[in-house]
Formats: sequence, structure tokens, C-alpha cells
Amino acid sequence: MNDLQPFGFFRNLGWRLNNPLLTAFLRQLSFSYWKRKLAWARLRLFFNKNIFGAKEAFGNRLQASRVYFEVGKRIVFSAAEAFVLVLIFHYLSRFVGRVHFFAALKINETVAVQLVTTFAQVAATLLGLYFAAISTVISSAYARVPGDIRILIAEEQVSRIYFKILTLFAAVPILLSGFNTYGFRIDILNFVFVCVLGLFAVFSFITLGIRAFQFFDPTAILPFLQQKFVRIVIAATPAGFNWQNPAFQNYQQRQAEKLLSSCENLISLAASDERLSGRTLTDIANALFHIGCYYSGQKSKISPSSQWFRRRYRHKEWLLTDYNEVSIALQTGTVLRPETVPDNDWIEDSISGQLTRIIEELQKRNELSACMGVAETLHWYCRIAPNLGAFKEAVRMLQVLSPKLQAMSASAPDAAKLDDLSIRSLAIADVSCASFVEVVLASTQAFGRFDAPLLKKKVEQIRWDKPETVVMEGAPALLVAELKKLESQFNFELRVEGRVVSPAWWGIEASALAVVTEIRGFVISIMKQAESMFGQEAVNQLKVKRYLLVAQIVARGLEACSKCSHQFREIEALVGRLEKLNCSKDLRWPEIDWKDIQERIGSLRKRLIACLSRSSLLLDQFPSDDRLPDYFGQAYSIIADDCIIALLTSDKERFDDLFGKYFALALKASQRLRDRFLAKDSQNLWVSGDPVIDLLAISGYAILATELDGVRFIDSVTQRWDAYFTGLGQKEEQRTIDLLGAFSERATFRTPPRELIRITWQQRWEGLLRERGLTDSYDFLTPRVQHPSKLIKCFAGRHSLERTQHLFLASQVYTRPNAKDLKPPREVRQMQTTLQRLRETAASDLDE
Amino acid sequence: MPRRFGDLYTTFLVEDVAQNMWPFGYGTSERKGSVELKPNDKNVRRILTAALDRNGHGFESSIQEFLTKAAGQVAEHDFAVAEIVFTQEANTNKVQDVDFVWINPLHIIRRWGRLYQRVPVELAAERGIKSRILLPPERIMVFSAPARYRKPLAQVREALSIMSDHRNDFFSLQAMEQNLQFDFVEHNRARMLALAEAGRPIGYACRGMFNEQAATPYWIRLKILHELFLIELRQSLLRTLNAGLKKTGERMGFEGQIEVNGWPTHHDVEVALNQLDAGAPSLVEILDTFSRR
Repeated sequence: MNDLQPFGFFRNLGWRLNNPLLTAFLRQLSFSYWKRKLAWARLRLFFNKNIFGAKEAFGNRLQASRVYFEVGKRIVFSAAEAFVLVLIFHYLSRFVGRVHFFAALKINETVAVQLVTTFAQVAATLLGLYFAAISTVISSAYARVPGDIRILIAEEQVSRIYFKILTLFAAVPILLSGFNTYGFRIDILNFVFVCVLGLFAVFSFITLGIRAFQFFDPTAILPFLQQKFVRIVIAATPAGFNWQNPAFQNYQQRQAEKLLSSCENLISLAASDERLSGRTLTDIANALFHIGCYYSGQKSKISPSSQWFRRRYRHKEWLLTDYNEVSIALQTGTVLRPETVPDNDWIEDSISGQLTRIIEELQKRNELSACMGVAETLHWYCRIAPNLGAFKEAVRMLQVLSPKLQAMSASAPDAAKLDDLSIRSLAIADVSCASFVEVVLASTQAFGRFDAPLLKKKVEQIRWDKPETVVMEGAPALLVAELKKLESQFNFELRVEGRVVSPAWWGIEASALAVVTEIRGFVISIMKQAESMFGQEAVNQLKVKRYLLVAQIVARGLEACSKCSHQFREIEALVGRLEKLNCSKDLRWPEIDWKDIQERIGSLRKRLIACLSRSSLLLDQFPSDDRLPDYFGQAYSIIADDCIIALLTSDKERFDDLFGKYFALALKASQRLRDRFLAKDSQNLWVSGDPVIDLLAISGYAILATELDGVRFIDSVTQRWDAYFTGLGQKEEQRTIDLLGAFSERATFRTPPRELIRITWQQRWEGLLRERGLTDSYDFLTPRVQHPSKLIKCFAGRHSLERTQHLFLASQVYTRPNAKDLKPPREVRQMQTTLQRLRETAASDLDE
Repeated sequence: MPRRFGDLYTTFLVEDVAQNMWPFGYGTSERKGSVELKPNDKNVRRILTAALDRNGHGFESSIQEFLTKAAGQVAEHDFAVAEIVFTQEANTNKVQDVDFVWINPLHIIRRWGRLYQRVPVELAAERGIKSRILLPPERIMVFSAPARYRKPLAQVREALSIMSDHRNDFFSLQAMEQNLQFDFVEHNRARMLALAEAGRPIGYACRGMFNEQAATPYWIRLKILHELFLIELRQSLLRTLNAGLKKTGERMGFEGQIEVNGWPTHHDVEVALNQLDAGAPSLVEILDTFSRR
């Protein structure tokens, strides 16, 4: 400050007024400033602590009154009953008072004193009994647990209130007796008060005494823990007292850490005590999930730099560090001081660690039922948490817990016997996989809340000079951090310029960028998770020949692929809208290669189907059980559909790979249906031909696809059929061909279940022709098909007239040497005529 | 008294104003600009090139260098004085050549509206001249900042000088060592706020030292406002130079005025500010108007 002395007092004053920020900086350059600041901070802390204490006490009183009310509610009927009895006796005594004998009886002071003395004794007894009950519980159930759990039980609100009432009930009569010794008359009000207290204590003793035994199960204190956690979290948000004060933030952080540590101790207790069932651990897991979920909703309200987040050290890079710090380090010959950065996921990490431990404990005990409870709560968490902005957290929870849950299904059998245990273990793995789908769906929905117009509106509503308004409900972590950064930057302008001079679009753009960055991270992590959770896991299970589990993983994996593909398209559109908010073109926006992501999904789908096709042939070994999904049927349908996709996309390699397996699968499916109908419903035996018709239809499509692009799909098809027929022998071959012909006959009044599926295949085929511009007409009577193949022209646009199964039968099956003497069905004969006409037309065209 | 090379932030200011005075470099800039002498007389070009710069550069570069020096001195001392020195033939007294010589601003004294050059007493005694020499107005060029920026420029320099004096980071170290609960982050932010406040009158962002603390559009706005200061400074310096050329021409019998085209204008600043508020086109395009590349 000496620099300013030569200017003189008035100039100095004027200069200070014109340069308030510079003056403030200079003021900071004296030790006395920091001493004063420290003293002021201590003073403020002192007052705030007292105010906080008073508020806490008030809160406790409020809660206590609720407990009084709750306990009162429970005893009101008994008390009313007692009161009625007293009234009845009172009126009865007036009635009987007329009787000479009773009129002679009078209440005297001595009796009242004795009664009060008795009350005191009763109170002391009750107090002793209740305390003994609690002590018994603690000494037997919590003898070896850390002190904090015992304190939690002792601190439990209802017990505390009851202790207080009993103490009062014991104290008041003692005082009255004591005063009475000095001639103090026990007046009516005091007497009534003691009576009421006594009634309350006696009636409550039954309810609360029984309740004390609930503490044998440590989960009894979970609601108390949850409530306490909620209070602590709220205190760290703008709703809390002195929420911006680092000292208070730190205090709340320590409280939360203590609470989580208590949860961990509870897990240890439940794990070590064999008397406690797995349900206890599940209850603790549920409480942890609920705590995590509640916290997810509140986290966006807490500043990322708050002391609420536990600190960790991070070392700086010399080449990227601020000049001032480098200068200090160089001049003093020291290293750069590591900076303390907030660990914004410390609660989630702690919770996921504890949940992992619970699952491991349950696994050790082989408590599958309890573990199912944990899986179901994980499923619930994955549906709710992303909606509260915890996208990353939900994915992380899934990453940590799903391998553990999937490992539970390691006992899933592949033998012919399916017991409850096996089915349950499969169910756990299934619920865990379903959680993934929930995360994808919930996250897409949640991101939708930050669509461009909504985000713009939300940012415009923020008042940057008021920290409590710089909050967005359910905002993802990066957006929360960006808003805090913007708040700091705009405050800089406010201090220098007196107002925010940056245009409003900047805040909107930066927020949109944060959302897009979050989306990118989410999409990448979810893809990675899908690939490991389904793709890798299916391969691993296939290696160890757990075919049921493979089928299950593939089923969920295909669902996940479908959901991801669809939801990512929605997210892509959302990102497109957000990118329109990029006005400055200055910031580097993350690039999301949506095409690559869709390709990865497609590739994952192919891998899953490949796994399914490999395991599908062995799925029929398992007896059909309606407690499990029909994995065999599902595998059949998926592979059939994928064969058609491979044909329509000209993917020969994939088709050749799938068709071989599908061929056997279709025959097995037909046989399976035949056995089933023969056993139960022989009238509908014709339905067993449905998979064979599928097989013939796909073989027919292979002919068409070969004609369309010249890719020889037909080779693998004919090879497979030839091998099949060759293995049968002449008579059996003829019988089989007859059977195939019979199956392919169109029923007049009955539609087989898969007929509609085959119609969708036909529609896909027609759609492909239209997509390629081979046909420009929707008129099925006069299609104008631009393709050199007569066969393609014949099969274009002829809705419901031609069937590929008939094409295959006419061109490949009934042309076999052993089928010469067989009479094909009507549709096949028609197809033979059509093909003959096409051959003749082609020959005449050639002559011309 | 400014201490240019002792004061970090002041040195930044002086160097930045001098460098940015000329917004394009010949042969190295994509910016289309031109420096013309009107009327264009080869002989006059030669005389002026020699007078403005003795490093053997071309006409345009010599003007650039001369004005850059002027800008640096104005930023440092609020003014710059160049003496117009004529070389006469001994016999005929005919002016043969001219040279523009800078006078050390620290030796300039202003009294009653007149400028004097202070000569060290020993030197004056040795040469038999007065220790304070009057500088005749027709023989000098006095460069200064545009009127509306004179006071703000001095304020900026003064504030930056104070900031430079308190750049001593040992205070932070000592404070951290003592148990004072010294908050380096808070202190650093106070320093950056002070820097922003110090440079604000002329939009000087001190080489972007507080860019991380402020939003991008804020420091871009500052940069545009600083460009406004530079535009007016350029015009002021060029006016003074042309006035000097007129005086020289009167004496040497030629007419010559320098015209510079392609410098950013007030209109550019206005457009840039409007574009910044509207959020289009991109920030890079907005800044390209004033780019030196």
C-alpha cells in the first residue's frame, strides 16, 4: 500500500474508488488481511454453529413431536378404553356413594402420597425393564460390532423418546413425594399429570417393548439411517443451512462418510451372524440403492467444487501449470504443490463397493432368493437413477454389479434336469441383463429433458448472480460442472463490468456442449458395456457349454441391440438439435460417429446370433418348462429371420453359416412340434409342418436372391438338401417329398402360426425390389420390373399369388430322379407350369 | 515515472500496443493492405525512406517501423517526439536531406505549452549550450494517444505498474507457510480481477492472462474494444506523421502525404460487436477482421 502514498490522501481515495478490484487485491497482500479474514471466519463459524445447533435441536423437537403423535396414535384406543372404564367407575362410585357403606369411604392425602410413591416405583421398574430389554438386544446381537452401530440403536428416535417419557414419569412422582415431605399438597393437576404419564408409559411399554426385540435384526435401524442420510444430503444442497460455507460442507461430508461406514459395519454384522438370513443383506442392499437413488436426484444441486465431495490429490504438469505457481516452485526449488480435487463419485463408489460385498456374501451362502432381491432392486435403480441425471452412475453401477450377478448363474445347468435353484440363477442373470435395457431407455428419456428448446429455456431462467438459481433438476454431471463454471465466469464479468456483458447464447451453447459431451460419454460407455455384457459373455458361456445361459444372454442382447439402435437414433436427432445451438463455432464439439455405433450394434447382433446358432441345436435337449422362456423356439425364429436378412443384404458368408444350422434346427423344430401334438393334440398335427414350410420358403428365397444379384446362395441350399435326401434312401426320400408337398399345400380354412411371418418376408422382398428401383409400380397386376431375370419379374409385386416354398419344391425337389412318379400338389404344379413358360420365353428371346 | 523493463505487465502493454499498431506485415500477411505516397514521387519516396528508417528497408516497412516505435513510446510515456532534422549544403544553405530523429521522452519538458529538451548540465557546459533547449513546433512531430484515450491509457499503465510491483509470489509462499488459512485460489482470482479492471479502459486483456477465469465472449469483446483503441491510435499517429511530412515538404519543396488502406475501421468494430451479440458468424470469423495474419 506504500505505493499509493505519494498520491496524497484525496487522490489516493479517488484512485481506490475507481479501482475497487485492484484495491481489493492489494489489500490481500498483507498478512493482517488474512488474519482478519481468519478471525472473521471463526466468528461466523461460531455463530453459524450455534444457529445450526439450535436448528438441529428444533428439528429434533419437531421429530419428537411426531413420535409422540405416532406413539399416541397407537395407544389412543387403549387409553380411551381405560378412560371410559374410569368414567364408568366414577359414575358407579357416585351411584354406590348413596349406599351408606361406600359413602363412608373418602380419598385422603396419605393415599395420594402412597399412590404417587407407587407410581415412582412403577416408573423405575418400567425404565429398568425397557433398558434391560435394549441391553439384552445390544449385548447379544451387537456385542462384536463397532461402537457406531450400538450408538445408532441407542440414538434411535423412538427409543430415545420413550426413555425420556419414562424418566419424566419416574422423576415427577419422586419430586412430588419429596415436596410432600415439606408439607406440599399434591394438587389435582399434578396428580392428573402423573396419572396421564403413567398411563402413557404403561401402554407404550407393550408396543415399544415388543419393538425393542426387532433390533435383533440390524435392518430395523435402516429406516433411521436412510432418514439421517436424507437430512445430511439436504443440508449440502441450497435447501441446507449455510450450504455454501466450506466448513459446513465438510461437516456434512464427514457425517455422510460416518453413516456409510455404519452401513458397512451392518453388512459385516449381517454377514458374520449365521442366525440372520440373506434377506437381511438384501434389505441393506435395498436401503443402499434407495440412498443412492435419492442422492442422484440431489447431486445436481450440489456444486462440483463443494467440500461435500471428498478430496483427493492430483499432481500438476509443469508445462501446463499457471505461471505464478511455476515461478514460486522455481524460485524456491520446490516441486509443484499437488492440487486437491473433488472426488465427485465417492458416495457412488462407496455404495457400489458395499453392494458388491453383499452380493459376494450372498453368493458364498448360496442365497439365490436374496440375491434375486438385489438384482430386482438394481433393475429398479437402473430405471429411476438415469431419470434423475445419474447416467454415468447407473452405467457404473451396472458395470460393477452385473458381472457379479451374472456369475451367480454359473451354476445354471445344461443337464436335462431343471430345478428351482437353476431357474432362479438364470432369473438373476436375466434381471441383471434387463437392467441394461432399463438404463438405455431411461437415459434416452432423461436426455430428452435437455432437448434444445427446453435447455435454452432453462438456461435463460438462471440468474447468474444468485447461486441458488444455478441449479437444474436431473442435470448430468458435466452440465452441472459447466453451469458452475459459467457462474464463476459471469461473476468475473459482474465484478469487473458491473453486469454480465457476455451474450446469452454463450451460456446456452456451453450448456448444450456439456450435454452433448455427456451423451458421447454415455453412448461410448453403454456400447462398451453391451459388448462385454452380452457379446463377450455369450462367447464365454458358449465355451463352457452353458447353452441355456447363452440363449438367455442372446435374447436379452438382441433386445438391447434393438433398443440401443432405436434409442441412439433418437439421441442422434437430439444431438443434431443441440448442435444447432453452437453459435461461436469456436469450441470443439465432441464428434460422435453414429454410423460406427450403428455398425457396432449390427456387428454385436451378428455375433450374438452366431452364438445362438451354435447353441441352438442343443437347446432342444432341455425339457420344455413353462417357468423358463421357450429358448429353443426363440432361437429358431431369430435364426430364420436372420437367414432372410442375410439373403436380402447379399451376405453370403453369413447365410452359408446360418443356413446349415437352421436346416437342422427346422427339422428338429418340426419333430419337436410333432411329438408334442402326438402326445396331446393329434388333431393339430399339421401345425408341425410350419417350420418345414419356413425352410422351404427360405430355400426358395435363396433361388430368388441368386437370380437377383448373381450371388450363389442356392449352392449351399442345394448342397444341404442333397445331403439330406441322399441319406434317406429311395422310398424314404419319396415319402419325405410327399410329406413336404403336403405341408406346402395351402390350407383353406386354417392359417398356420408362422404364415404371417412368411408374409412379412415376402413384403421385405418386395420392399427390397422397390428400394433398388427395380420396380416402380405398386400395382400387383401390372408390375413393371426392370430386371433381366424372368423369375424375378414373375415374383415381383405378385402379392399372395406365388410362394417361394412352391418355387423351391417345383425347381429343386420334384425335379429329383426319385420324385418322377410322384404327383406334386396343385400349387407346385402351377409353379412348374410357370417355370416351363419362363424357360420357353427365355429360349425364344434368345433365338430372336 | 514508468519503469518499462522492470514492470512485467507494463512491458506487456508497451510491447503489445507497439506490435499491434500495425495490423499487417508485408509479404507475411494474408490481409490486403497498402501504403501509398500521394502524389507518388520516386525522389520523395527515397528521401522519406531514408528519413524514417536507417535499416535499409523499403518505404512501406520504414513507415511501419516508425509508427510502431511511436506507438510504443506513446504507450509508455503518453507521447513521442521526433525532431525533423534537415541537412543543408554549407555554401548554399539549400536543404539537401532530412532525417526524423527520436528524442528520448524522458528528456522532454513541457512548459507553458512549449516543449523543451533537457540536456545534462555537464554536456551543456561542455558544448556551451543551455541545459534546456526549446524545440520549435515547426521542427518537431509530437505523437500522442487520441484525446479520449489519453487519460485511460495513463490509468491503465499506472494500474499495471502497481500490479507489477506486487507480482512478488513470495508473499503467497510465506502466507501459505504461516498458518493463516491463505487461499491461493481466491488470491489468484483477486489478481486476475485486478488485472481485468486495470486493462478495462482500453480493453487490454494482458495477453489473455485471465482468459480462463472469464467467458470467451467477454475477452473477445475486450479484444474488439482494444482494437477500437488501436484504430484511433493509428489514425492519430498517421495524422501527426502527415503533419510532419507537410512541414518537411514546405521546407524541401515537395508535397507528399501517406495513405494507408486496409486498416480495420470503426465500422468493423461496430459490426464485430453486433455479430458477437447475435452469435453469428463464428468467433474465429469475427476475430479474423482484426487478425494480423
